[in-house]
Amino acid sequence: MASITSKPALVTLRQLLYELRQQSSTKRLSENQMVLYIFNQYRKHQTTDQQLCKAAEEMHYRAKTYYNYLHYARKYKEINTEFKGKGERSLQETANMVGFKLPHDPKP
Amino acid sequence: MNSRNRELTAKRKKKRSNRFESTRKRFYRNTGIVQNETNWEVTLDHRRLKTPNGQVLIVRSEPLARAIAAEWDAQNEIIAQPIMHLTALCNTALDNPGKITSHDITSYLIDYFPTDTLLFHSEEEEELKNLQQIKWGPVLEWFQNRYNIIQEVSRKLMPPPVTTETRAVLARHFLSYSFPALNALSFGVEALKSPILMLACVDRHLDPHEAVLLARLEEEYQLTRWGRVPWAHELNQAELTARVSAALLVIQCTSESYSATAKTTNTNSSEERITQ
Repeated sequence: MASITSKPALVTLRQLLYELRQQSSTKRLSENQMVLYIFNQYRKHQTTDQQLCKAAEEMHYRAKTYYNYLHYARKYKEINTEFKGKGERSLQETANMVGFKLPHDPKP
Repeated sequence: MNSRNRELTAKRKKKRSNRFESTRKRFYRNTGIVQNETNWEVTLDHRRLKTPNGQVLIVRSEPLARAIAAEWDAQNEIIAQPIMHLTALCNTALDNPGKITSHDITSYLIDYFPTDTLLFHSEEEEELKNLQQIKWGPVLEWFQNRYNIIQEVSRKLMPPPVTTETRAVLARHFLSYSFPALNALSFGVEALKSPILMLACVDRHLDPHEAVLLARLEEEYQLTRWGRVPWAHELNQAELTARVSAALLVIQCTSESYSATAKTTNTNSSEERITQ
């Protein structure tokens, strides 16, 4: 249960890498400092495999939390940009909508 | 002369306020971190990241510094500061704009506790009442066992009574956190509207995602009947989960209890190291 090479932990790793690929500005994932650090941490906790180890459990929980943070922050941004208002219409646009002309427009 | 001065200051003030309101464009290419003994700093193109008050942003933990650097790296074109929660939490802990102490936050949280979402059970709707019993019951039981206290729940509008022992136990627990952790804790509590759920998250009893679902239980129940709107409900859920996870990350990183130390030590770790 506490193992970091267990399936749920690896699923979290894959999710984390997906999120980091979405947001990273570097082209290759191996250049991202956070990705390198995460791999490092996963490798470090690999050695405490079959034991009930608090550090590994804590690490997996932290990985999950970080994934949640990245995922939901991205989702929030996406929903916000999709539904964000464009602001007010200009005078010209409003006039056009109801079929009026502005006073300084030449009459046809 | 006097009026001119006033005009100038007004102009300057306007300029300054504009600077904070307007969205800033991304002005850096790479983000990185710098280690300085036990402190970590974030760099934007070799310039150090600073708090709004002008102090250098210093954190005590490597993963937190890396996460902040990744957060700044994730900004494309416009820096969306309102949703950079990790940076904001560290800024607040360093600058402390409200000039508050750990005791202030503790007493605030203790006052908050009787109005915890989990302590208000529905009386009118049978279905919702059962749902709350099933979902909230185990968390409440866990909470009472963990802190060895007994807490009543309310079925009316009035908050349930909280004994002085409960207050003392909780106060002692809250005061055991460092100031940055406690600040993050209250940020998470405000998002969840529930100290119990936040404490369950800190003890790794619940995921942030699960905790947010439990905090929004009544809303979720109503949504099954009235329908779900992405720009209100999903947006709210995403925001709360991001807030709670950010608070948790800060708490975990600033108060590492069982953190493991590697047996093999790096020889160059004592020197200042720049990681890109």
